[in-house]
Amino acid sequence: MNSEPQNLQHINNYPEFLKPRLRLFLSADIAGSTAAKQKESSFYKEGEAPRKERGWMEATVYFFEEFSSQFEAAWALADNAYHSVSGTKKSKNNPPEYWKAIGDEILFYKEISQWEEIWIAIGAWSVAIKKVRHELHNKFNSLGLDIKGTAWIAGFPVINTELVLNIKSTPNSAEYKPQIDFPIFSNICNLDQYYKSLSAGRHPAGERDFIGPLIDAGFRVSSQAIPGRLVISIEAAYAILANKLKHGHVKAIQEEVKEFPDFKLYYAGRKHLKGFSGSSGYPLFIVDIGLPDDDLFSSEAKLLTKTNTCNMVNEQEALDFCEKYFHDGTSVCHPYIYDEVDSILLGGQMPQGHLMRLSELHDLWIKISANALSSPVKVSLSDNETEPENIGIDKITDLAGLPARTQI
Amino acid sequence: MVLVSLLRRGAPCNHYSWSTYNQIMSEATQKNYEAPLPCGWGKNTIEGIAERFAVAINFKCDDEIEPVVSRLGGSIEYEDFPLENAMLAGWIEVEGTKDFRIRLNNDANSIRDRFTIAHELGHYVLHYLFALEKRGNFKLSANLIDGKRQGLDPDPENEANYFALALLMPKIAFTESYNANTSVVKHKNPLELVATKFGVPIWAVNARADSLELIK
Repeated sequence: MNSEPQNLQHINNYPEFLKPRLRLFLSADIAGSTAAKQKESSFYKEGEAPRKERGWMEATVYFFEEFSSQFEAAWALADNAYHSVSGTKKSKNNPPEYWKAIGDEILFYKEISQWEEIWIAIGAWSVAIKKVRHELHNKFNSLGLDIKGTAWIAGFPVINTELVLNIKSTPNSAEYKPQIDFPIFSNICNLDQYYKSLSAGRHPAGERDFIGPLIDAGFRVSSQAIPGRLVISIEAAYAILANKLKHGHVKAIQEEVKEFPDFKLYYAGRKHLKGFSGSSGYPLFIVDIGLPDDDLFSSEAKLLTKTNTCNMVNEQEALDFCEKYFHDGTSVCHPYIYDEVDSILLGGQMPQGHLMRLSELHDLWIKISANALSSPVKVSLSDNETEPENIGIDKITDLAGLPARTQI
Repeated sequence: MVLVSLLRRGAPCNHYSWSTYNQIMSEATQKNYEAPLPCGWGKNTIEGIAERFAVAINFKCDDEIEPVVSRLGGSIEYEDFPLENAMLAGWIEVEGTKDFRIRLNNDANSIRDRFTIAHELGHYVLHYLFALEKRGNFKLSANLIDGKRQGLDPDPENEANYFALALLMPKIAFTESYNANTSVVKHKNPLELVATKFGVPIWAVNARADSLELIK
């Protein structure tokens, strides 16, 4: 562990879009919806009476509407309760934001400025899963729907990056801007504008998306999600384990939000995720979100434990494992928050390689913003001239060594 | 750790990675390349040369331009350019007649590549082939980062740009399309339609329209 504080003051002067950011990504997906849709489609066959019960459409709309509001409310309550009990200030702690919906999956993200925000947001996500799952069971019982949850974290802009999409060009784009022809630089300029709009309180042009290896990893992890449980990446598990999650704080939050989980972590072992972790597999952890009303879950949890496939972890042992995994891994690193002064986490330090890359990107940005990387395309030529002789097609053919043209 | 960032680059073929601008210039010096000198011709002459060149090489404005390079005996290489020239679109190095290569920036999009190839062919025709009689045999490197050439009047870069505009957007076809799309068709960005038709950046459509005095 490197305990030397890093001097990262210069990064504070970088444009907003280049400042390192750690984001938590949260996914909730309806399980069993495909089967419900297929089953329901049979009711619209010719000669069949239309189904009278409420079906997948109502359930899905209900899920999207309810999940967002349940999560946002649970997060706000949990966050307030935490700051109240811990006596900490809410400095840059912005609320989680809706990212997008993909099919029956809803995704949020949360910018992380302090480590505890990770487990608070994951806890609130668990609450929403638990509540909406319960409501789906009550209101749409015949459909057999459940909810699968996933959480993972990803750092920007060195490992992963942001994209601004769907910016429509305007007639004024005929004006020459060198970056237009270079998608990567165009995106950098769009990102700068996006962040400037956000800072100014304006609605930014275009839609932002997140891409990169850790985003891919998160979606791969979500493919392993289990109904009624919350599967989390090793980086997210590490962030929970390593950053002073105090069970006293959890208890205080539970007084406000009673479904808030105890944060018992289970280790689900290594899973083969397509494209990740080679042959050894990717380690997955599960947060027990606590489903006391669900006999099936409780019974399966016991079975998993007894068959040694999913064990509740000893927190120190799990932390040791995560440290070793990050140390030995070639494609992962400790998550870090660049301006987090608390150095308890080794991840609080930015790797030198990241600092160098960031500096390179900043240099590039300086040149782009100064428009110093390309000359404008000028065509200012004289139009008063007498054309010289002997510059006909045959001359060009001859000079270029092309085969002589056949005279027609 | 695999670093994927805002500056991720791929190299489909003929991959080179330059570390510094000095490396480029050093190689150009070692190989005794010379910078292009302006031909000094005006718009009409260069327009005429581009039209005749298109006929000579059997190129129509909606054709792909890469085969033209092959037909002339040249090659195209895609490279990672150094940071300080990250938005340099490309340049041409000519060893001799039927022996040249056009070096393109991996980060540019395909529409810009098309314009860059036409621009470099402009250098090849105007500043190499037509310069041979005056300069004798020489080797040409027409990269845009030669500081000594900046501010020349006439500027060989302007000449190559005009050649590219005329080659990719022939006067008659362009005028017809531009007038039709800007005056009749209701579209939020008519220049985009013209740009798509001719396979060029929108700014190039604007530059061509300006040079032909079509902008009302």
